[in-house]
Amino acid sequence: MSYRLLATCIVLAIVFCAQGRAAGLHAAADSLQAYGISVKNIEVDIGSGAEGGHDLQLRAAQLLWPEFDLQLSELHAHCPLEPEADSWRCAGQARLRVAAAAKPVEAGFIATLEHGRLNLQLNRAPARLTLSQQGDDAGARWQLQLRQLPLDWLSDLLRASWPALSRIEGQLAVDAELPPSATAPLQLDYSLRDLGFDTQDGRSAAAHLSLAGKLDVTATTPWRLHHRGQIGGGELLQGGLHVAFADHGTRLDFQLSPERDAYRFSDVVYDDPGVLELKASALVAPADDLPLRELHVDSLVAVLPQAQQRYLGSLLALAGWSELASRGRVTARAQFDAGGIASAAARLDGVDLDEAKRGIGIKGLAGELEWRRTGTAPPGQLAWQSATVHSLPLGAARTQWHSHDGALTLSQRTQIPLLGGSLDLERLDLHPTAASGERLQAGLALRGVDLAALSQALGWPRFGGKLGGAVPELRYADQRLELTGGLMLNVFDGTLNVTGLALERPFGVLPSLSADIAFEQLDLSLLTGTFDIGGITGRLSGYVRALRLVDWQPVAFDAQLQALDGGRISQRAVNTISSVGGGGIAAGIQASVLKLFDTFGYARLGLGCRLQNAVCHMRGLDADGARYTLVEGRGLPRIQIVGHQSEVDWSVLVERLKAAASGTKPVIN
Amino acid sequence: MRHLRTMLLSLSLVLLSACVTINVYFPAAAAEKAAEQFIGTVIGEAAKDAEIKPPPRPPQAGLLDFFIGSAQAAEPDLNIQTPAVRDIQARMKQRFDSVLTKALAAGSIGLTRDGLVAVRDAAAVPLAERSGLNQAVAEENRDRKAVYSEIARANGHPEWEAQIQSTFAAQWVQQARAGWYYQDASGAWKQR
Repeated sequence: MSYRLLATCIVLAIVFCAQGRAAGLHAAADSLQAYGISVKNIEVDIGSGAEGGHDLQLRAAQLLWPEFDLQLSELHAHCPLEPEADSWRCAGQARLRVAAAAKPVEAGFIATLEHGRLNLQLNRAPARLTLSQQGDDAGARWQLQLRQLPLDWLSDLLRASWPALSRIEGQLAVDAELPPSATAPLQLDYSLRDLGFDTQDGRSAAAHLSLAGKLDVTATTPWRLHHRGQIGGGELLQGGLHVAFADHGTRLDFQLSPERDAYRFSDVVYDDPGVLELKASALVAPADDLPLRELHVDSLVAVLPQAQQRYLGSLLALAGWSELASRGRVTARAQFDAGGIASAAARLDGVDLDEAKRGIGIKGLAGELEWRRTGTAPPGQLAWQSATVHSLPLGAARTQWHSHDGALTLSQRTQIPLLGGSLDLERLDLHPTAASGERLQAGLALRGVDLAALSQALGWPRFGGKLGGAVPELRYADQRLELTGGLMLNVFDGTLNVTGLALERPFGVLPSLSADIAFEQLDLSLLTGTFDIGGITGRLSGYVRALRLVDWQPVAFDAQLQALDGGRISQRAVNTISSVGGGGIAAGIQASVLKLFDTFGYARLGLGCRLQNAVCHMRGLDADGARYTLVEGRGLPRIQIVGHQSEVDWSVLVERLKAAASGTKPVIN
Repeated sequence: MRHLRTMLLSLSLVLLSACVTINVYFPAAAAEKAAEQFIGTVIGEAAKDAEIKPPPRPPQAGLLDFFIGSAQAAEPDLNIQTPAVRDIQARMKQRFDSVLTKALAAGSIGLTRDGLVAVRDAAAVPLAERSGLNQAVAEENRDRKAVYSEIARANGHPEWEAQIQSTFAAQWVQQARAGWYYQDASGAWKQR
């Protein structure tokens, strides 16, 4: 945009020069053309001034530079001519209007003509523009030097092509040698210091940006601009992207030319050494709702974590992943067009990702993947050394992929080691451009997972057994992951089935899990031994329906545990069950008598709880309103445990169970 | 006569809706009360003078709580005090105190009609703080969505989520301090 002002000055100078030699004359021209610029109604007067000197008056009605959409009017300059030895000097005031309605712009100027060479200096604090003629008459060249031009002077001009711009600040300096002809390329050095801008919606903004570089401008039709420069510090905001640039050494090169109603950026090179290197081209239409019409990322090399910290930090933070730690190197290329992403390819070398707070991580991620919206892409592979999902350790695996018509598909079944068994990816299809509920299609299986290791990993009391199961269909939509099929646990010499598994916000705020659990013929002696609540023998069956864990804590379920075939129950277990029932009533037996026996026979045992609103609604084998039987005795001494608290606060119940497990006397309300 | 007909019609409509929605009736008053208390705690000394704090809940008082609760529950109660929701509430309060109250007072963010917050005038925020504010708004909205969804589910009615969200939306505006911006039903920004 600086060209506009620059051009104005150049033309003023040229016109002024042409007339400077014609002292004592009145000259007029209807129009004058140079460099694609046309000046209309030019008048030059050299008349008598004060103290016998001469006054120079220069007027032009209009100056047009269509190439840059520039239109200036009412140009006027006036100064007393001062003859000096072999030279002329003229210092005065110049004025012009940038737009018909705008206020006239005034500037002081000093023009000197020495040995037929003109030197013109325009001053308007704090800016200074100097134009000087170099070389001989045959090959006259113009040298231009602009210093400290406040960018807010150009704000109206800039707003014409970027209406959302609300504020701009900073200073521009330019050094250029003007080309001998309109078609010859213009070369200039520029520097922008302390560039800051903002837009009305505040989505694009910059502060303290420094830019310096060289521009080659070819004023052909269409014009063409070649930029080679450096970014030296400052920060930039674009939507969710916020970048604080390095103070030195970020290279930015590109070519720019108009293409119909848009601008084509080609040969874009952005190089932040040791952090990020980008080679790209783009088609940008600033007037469009989505200005980026085309983007071809020919190569992107990102070194982690530096590139994440500088370029992705703000975007990750918006998505809630501000604490992601990364390492390694990512090379990528991609193409975007009017239909969105058209193709993408990535190569990963030794990438580690880790989000400790969520217990998610992957180490030694390496491989190459390619995806195309249409057609077929070359096959790829992706391998990793280890991974963690919600604190469960997954082993090394190598996956093979292929892409066809917008789907990235796992080529063959992959086994991922998991706690002595495996998590098998039976099938996995990713459709990045599909509707939100259809982007992921997968089928999984779990085989022979060691429950002792699993319970340890989850921080539960350790118990043995194996876990297996199949999830033939996995769906993810609206932050909800649904798993059809089910898992089967061979545990405590019985079986436990988990179905209706669904995870909400699996990696977000308040992750929650829903499931239905049913179990049969669990060996109570193994189970009670594991949880250390006193020994019971017999076989336990039952269910936990509509289980809902929020943040891995139960908030709702309907559970029924029962052993109907009888067995024996230890004194400590009697206490535990009594405490759960809330009374510790062992009907018909005195506590002192009870103490004489280690175990008792029982015919039936049953305990139920429906958890809702942090309250457990208790039940037993039967219920008659206020009371319910938890244990029905058999043989002698005959015990009968009856609960009589039909509602127990869940936190109280958990406290009681913990107290029972740790052997301290339960607190009974 | 016309009055009587209108009255009879409304009465029968009320009876009809009561019949149809039995058991799935949304406890509007309870939801409003829950939202009022939740938001009062987050906003701090709100439009009201005193800070509203949920009563402390010692572990041993659980049963007592229940009986008092059931005595008051003339209509279905709406429980929002799960430990996870309480954690989020504490986090939201901290975020309000450190970032959002200031931004709301400055008008750079506002309360949306769907019970969330949105950046209203980003240009009013210095660039250095804008990215942080965007992040705070995104985090706040994630927390709020989780709370609305969780309250509905914790009470056994996932389908209530939209109603809970709009109940909260009204309460956020209700308790907004003077000068804060909020969206009216058409989505236009207004000032308290």
